[in-house]
Amino acid sequence: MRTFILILICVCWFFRPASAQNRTIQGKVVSLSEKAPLVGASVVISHESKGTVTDSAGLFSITIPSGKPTVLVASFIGYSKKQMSVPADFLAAVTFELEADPNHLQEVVILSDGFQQMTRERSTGSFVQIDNKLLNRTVSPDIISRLADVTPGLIFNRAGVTKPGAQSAISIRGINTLFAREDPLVVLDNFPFYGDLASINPNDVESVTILKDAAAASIWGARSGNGVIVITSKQGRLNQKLNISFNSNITTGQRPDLFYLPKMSTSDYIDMEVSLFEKGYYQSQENHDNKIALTPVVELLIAKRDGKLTDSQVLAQIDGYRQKDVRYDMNEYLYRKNLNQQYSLSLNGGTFSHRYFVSAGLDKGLANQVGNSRDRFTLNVNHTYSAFRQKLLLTSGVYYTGTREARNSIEQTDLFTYTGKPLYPYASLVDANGNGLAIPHMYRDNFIDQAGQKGLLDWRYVPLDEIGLSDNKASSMILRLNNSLKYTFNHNLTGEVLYQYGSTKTDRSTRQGKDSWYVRDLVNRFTILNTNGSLTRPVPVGDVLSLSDQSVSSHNLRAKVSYDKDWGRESSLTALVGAEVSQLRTSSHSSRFYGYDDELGTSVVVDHLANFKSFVNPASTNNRIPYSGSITELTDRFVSYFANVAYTHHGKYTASVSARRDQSNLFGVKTNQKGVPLYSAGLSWKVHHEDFYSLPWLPYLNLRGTFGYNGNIDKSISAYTTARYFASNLSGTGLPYASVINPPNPQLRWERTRMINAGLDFKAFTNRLSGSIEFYTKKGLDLISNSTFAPQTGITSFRGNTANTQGKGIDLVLHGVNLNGDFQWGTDYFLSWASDKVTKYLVKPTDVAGEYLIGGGIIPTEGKPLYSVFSYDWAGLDAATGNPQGYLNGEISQNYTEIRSQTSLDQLVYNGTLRPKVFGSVRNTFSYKGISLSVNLSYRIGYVFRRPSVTYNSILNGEGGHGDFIKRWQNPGDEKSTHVPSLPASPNYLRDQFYASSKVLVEKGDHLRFQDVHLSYDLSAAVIRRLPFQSVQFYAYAANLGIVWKKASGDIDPDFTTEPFTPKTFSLGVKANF
Amino acid sequence: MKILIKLLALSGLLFCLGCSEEFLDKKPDKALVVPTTLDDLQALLDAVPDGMNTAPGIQVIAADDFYYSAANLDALSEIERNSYLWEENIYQGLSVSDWNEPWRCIFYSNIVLETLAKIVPDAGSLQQWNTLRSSALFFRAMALYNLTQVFAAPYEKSLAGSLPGIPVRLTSEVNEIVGRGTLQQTYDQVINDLIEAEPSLPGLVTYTNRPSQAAVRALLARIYLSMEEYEKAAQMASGCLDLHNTLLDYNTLNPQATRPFPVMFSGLNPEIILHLSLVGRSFFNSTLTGVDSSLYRSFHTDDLRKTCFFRDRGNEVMGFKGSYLGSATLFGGLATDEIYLIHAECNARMGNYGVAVSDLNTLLASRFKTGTFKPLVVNDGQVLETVLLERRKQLVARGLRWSDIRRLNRDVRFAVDLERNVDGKVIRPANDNRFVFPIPDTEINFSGILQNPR
Repeated sequence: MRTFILILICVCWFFRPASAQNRTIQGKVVSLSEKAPLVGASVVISHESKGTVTDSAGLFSITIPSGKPTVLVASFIGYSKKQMSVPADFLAAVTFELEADPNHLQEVVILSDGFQQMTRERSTGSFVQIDNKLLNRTVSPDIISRLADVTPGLIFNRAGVTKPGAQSAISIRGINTLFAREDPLVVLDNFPFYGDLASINPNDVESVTILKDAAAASIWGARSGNGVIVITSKQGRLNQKLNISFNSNITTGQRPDLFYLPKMSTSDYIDMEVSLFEKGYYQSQENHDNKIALTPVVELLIAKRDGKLTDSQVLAQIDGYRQKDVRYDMNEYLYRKNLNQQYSLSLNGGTFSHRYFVSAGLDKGLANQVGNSRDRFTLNVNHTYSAFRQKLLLTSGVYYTGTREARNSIEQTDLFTYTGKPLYPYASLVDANGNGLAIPHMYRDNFIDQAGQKGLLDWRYVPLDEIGLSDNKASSMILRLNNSLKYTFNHNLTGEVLYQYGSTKTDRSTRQGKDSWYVRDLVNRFTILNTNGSLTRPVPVGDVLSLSDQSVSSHNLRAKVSYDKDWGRESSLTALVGAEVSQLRTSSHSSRFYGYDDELGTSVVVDHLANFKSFVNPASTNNRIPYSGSITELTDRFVSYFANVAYTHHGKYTASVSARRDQSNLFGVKTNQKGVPLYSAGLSWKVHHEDFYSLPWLPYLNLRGTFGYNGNIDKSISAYTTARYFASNLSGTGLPYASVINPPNPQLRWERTRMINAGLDFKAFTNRLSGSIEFYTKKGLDLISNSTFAPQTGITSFRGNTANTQGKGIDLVLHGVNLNGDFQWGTDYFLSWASDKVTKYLVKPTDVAGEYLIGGGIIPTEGKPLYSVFSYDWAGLDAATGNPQGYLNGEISQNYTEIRSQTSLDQLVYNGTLRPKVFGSVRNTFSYKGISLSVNLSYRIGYVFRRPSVTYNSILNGEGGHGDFIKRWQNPGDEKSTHVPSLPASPNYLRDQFYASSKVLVEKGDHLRFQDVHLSYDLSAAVIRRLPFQSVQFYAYAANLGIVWKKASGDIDPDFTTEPFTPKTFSLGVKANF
Repeated sequence: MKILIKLLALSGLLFCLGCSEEFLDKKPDKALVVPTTLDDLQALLDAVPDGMNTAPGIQVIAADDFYYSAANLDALSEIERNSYLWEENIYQGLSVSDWNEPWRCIFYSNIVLETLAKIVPDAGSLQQWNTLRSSALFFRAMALYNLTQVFAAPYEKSLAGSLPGIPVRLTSEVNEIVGRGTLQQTYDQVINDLIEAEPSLPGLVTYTNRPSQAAVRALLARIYLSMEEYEKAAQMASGCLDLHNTLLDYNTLNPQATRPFPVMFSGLNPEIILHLSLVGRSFFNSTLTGVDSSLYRSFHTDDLRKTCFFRDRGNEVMGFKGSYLGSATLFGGLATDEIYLIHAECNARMGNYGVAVSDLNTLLASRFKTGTFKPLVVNDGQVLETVLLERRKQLVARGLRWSDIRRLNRDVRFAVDLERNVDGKVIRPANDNRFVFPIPDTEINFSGILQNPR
């Protein structure tokens, strides 16, 4: 009901007509020197916020009050402002001639931190703004990926663990926490956004601002420690004619390269199977209680041994297999080129008292995997209505996103021969006629045949026939309603109340069709063969439907009062104080139905508590029919107070202070009340405004510095003894039970990051070169991490505020105008350096090799970066045996057991970090007349990665292995040309582990990547005039174009070691304004 | 200015909304509780997966129920191999569940006891309050006793006042470290808690993870036996059998099955008084782990235990399949078969030979194929020996053998000579100290409590 009323209010405002006694003035803005029209110059009524911009011919029309003289002001980037007084009855055209002013070349950038808007001139903090043009340089269905490789200090982590539940894989200025969330806070239209970032239509985004330091972000308090990304949606403009924009593009991407990850050849694989068979390796599997499936070669060898096939028959068949590689079939039948289509239409405009923006967007995406797709529809309506001579501003917006996703692809794991055993390389998915073929899957053929004779369902698995038998889909609906009421009491004082209601509902349904292998298998496993030969089926033959839904609702209410005072002579004060209450509630349910009939919606009750004997393995008697039913309900609540003051003196000095205090229900009230507020302070100095300053080549020089604290939260812990309830089906006893997850911790508090930022902004050589450089240091304090406890306490480790980190870095940004004229060439360069180290961590490793080399998780180490890579020292291969050699107490050794247990942390080699220390990009933009070409190269430097190689354990278990197998040591002398160990006689896990963890497989990740290229063509003004358009642009875009240079050897892409690299994509599109 | 005041009032209202304690008292996750209600406490005590019903199992490796193929010792994990060979340093710094799990049980029990102290029960909840308190006392006592059997010296009345015990932790405060105290203090705490717990517990329970009066008496019988307090043990055993004396007729089982015994918590094994599982080790299920061959041979062909307990794993290895949990996990709980045997042993030791033999016959009648069992007739002088043999045969792989060896070794007549043949060398536990497992390194490193001599 509440939602309905809100919508109604929005709609009413929207259609409210504007009325006033007005006249319309036409005019033109041109440059003084060349009399050339200035496109996009702004013309405003002096001392009012009403205004307009010039069109492509430099023409404007503006509505001004009748009957009194009005002063108009025209301005344009790089030109001096000009005023003109329009007499009371004047109705003719006016012309503004603006004089070029090199000091004003930079556009006044309006930054938004989600609370207020400010000019860059008056900010002391570290902001990066990605404007609309730069955002639209990239073609993608989502907004967030458009920040990649154009944003200083922001990196998309490709390697290194991304924590579950993270909204993005983004780090801003390195790491700030150990175990809490490390992705930045995303703010969408003034409020935090916790939903799926892919639901935001990039065509509706005006700009994105990244808040990097304490001064910029501390206004977001306890959630700002990882930086903040502020996304601002497009809005209409007052006094603007209806403008219709259309944007459409189509993107296609190559199939993923299945051959990128080298694999042992089919022939080697078969040889290994034959040799294992001769050793009797498959005997236990042949008679396995679980009737596990064997590969065709093994089955042939069994048939040969049992005299069912002759040697030559078997040999011929096996030789036929040697030529095969199933990756060709997979490429053909399981993958395709992906295809994304994007359409967006928007209307915006405004009158004297009303402005609006309406847009609709449709994205259709077909993924690389056959069976997977994702569609999105967005609809936005927002408008602002002003009353009482613009003293009252009412803004409201309705944002709707609907997505539909299908996930019916066949994954590699679906094709496993049995659990944990990857598909053999000589499999065929289709026969000569293109019909799907069965592959051995889970059970042996002879068992499947016997079962079939007893009347069980067909147990064969034909991968291609599975496509379409099941329906796995998710749909979601995201609705945001924004309302704000702003009242200007007098010139100085403004009050504002903002409210946002958000609702997200996601429904996921997985219907396994009754003919799908999943259902046939489940039915068969539970089938009871009665003594009279009849069958009882505890799991009914019918679809299995699993449903889950999640709904998230949020309320945010904010009230703030701001005070602005301008004393002239560029001295001003801005102050803001306010409070905010928010609640985010997530509830989800899941359920499962057996024997479901999709036509009728009926299902069958099954017995989830009874123990059934497995049809496959009669010794397994305690099988229960899988049950799924759960309800979760999560509630986050925050109450926050904030204040912010900035004072600028004579345009030279600016000082800013901000503070915020958060309380939440996460830790318990007591802890919150003890909490310290997070605050920051900053200073900036426009050196070029000083009288003593006299560097004509450097007309702009700004120094700024900030200091302050940001916070971060770990939702998983509490100040109280907390227990978690588990459902009765998990306890074994049939009773629900509770588990203590958190012993009491009265000292619990927020994590804090203390950051000092120093920056310098400059413009030099008549603005041909501009840029900034920033240095920062930071300390992570009271970070929540583990500490070890004596087991007698009942806990072995404890999470509390026990760790500290340190970090420092540089962000360098340069913008060069290399050529200016008809042919323009500009270069944008950025370099970010970020290093971190753990300075305090209380848990000491008990099993060094196990934790640092094999575990793979995050093991914080004092004095080292969080994502450190360690390895064993390497002493080459043994010349006689090809065994890998390491060092044990300084001596060359092959005693892998001792190396594993004796090597201490300081005896391991420290190779570096998994995350790049230095990264950046160079973007060159060339334009001539309407053609513009932009090429972006990105680089990442100062990190390492572990190269995958052979593990003989899997090879000797007949599971195949890495393509390095061919490079293995085979004869004495090979050790000079390879580091791949010889094939051992029997699996030796520790030997494999030693090699996999040795320094010989750690390589430098440094590389330069051809990220993307954007080409656009704007129809010239001459052509446009004959068409019903204001502007038309055609564009083409290509991304992921490959590596230009890298330090690592071979074909490996350092950022993609365990999965194929992101395929190249190509886009074409058109944009038009009516 | 008036408007400013109104605005301030508005934001004041907002502040008050925020200040409201209720608003921030909302649980962040519905499944999370700060345990405060009696039902919450019951749920904590029902946390079977969290070690409430778990006992150490490492001692099974060090005892003589099982032997491991000597040529393959390298296939064992470090802790298993070191335990098997009674090495001086067993754990290599690794964490040891056999030690940790009982402590978790004690931690939960103390949380329950402390929370109960803050709840004033009304008439309707008084009984549940009392049962919960007794249950928590029981769990704490049981876990503490189980730790003594592995990590403290065997009980001997004359030495118990001077030997180090197991820390008696009566608080859930994790920042407090408790020293070991004496063995006597540990046993006193265990016995007093159990005696205090008994009256408020139900006689029998449906859910065998929960304690009952029968369980208290059975556990006390087991404890007194290990203390060589035979008279008290007999009294407790007979008290337990008064409440619960049913035996499982092995003729109802399928000896061919991979797991002949009913699955845990199915309620189909009438012998089970209290559920306890032993901390699992791959040693127990390895195809190379076989039961002691002389023990295997001691079963009569008509004895159903021979086929229900063991299976041929090839290479002359007879593996164990007879867990009372009906799974690969070993059972270490309280069951009537053990109580009959305690009753028999104590009576034999007290000279009541007739009672002892009659106990054995009751038990064995349900173990032999129907119609094949001939009641035992034993000379008085042989009764104790016979009872001890039957005890060993019936209670194989229950985790009790290690305690029995430690107790029996004090009597030359029944002393057990442990040995391992490795690479032609015979290894024996060098001295009595090897019958006490060292306290795990993780404990010593972080609490600094006294280590056992080794």
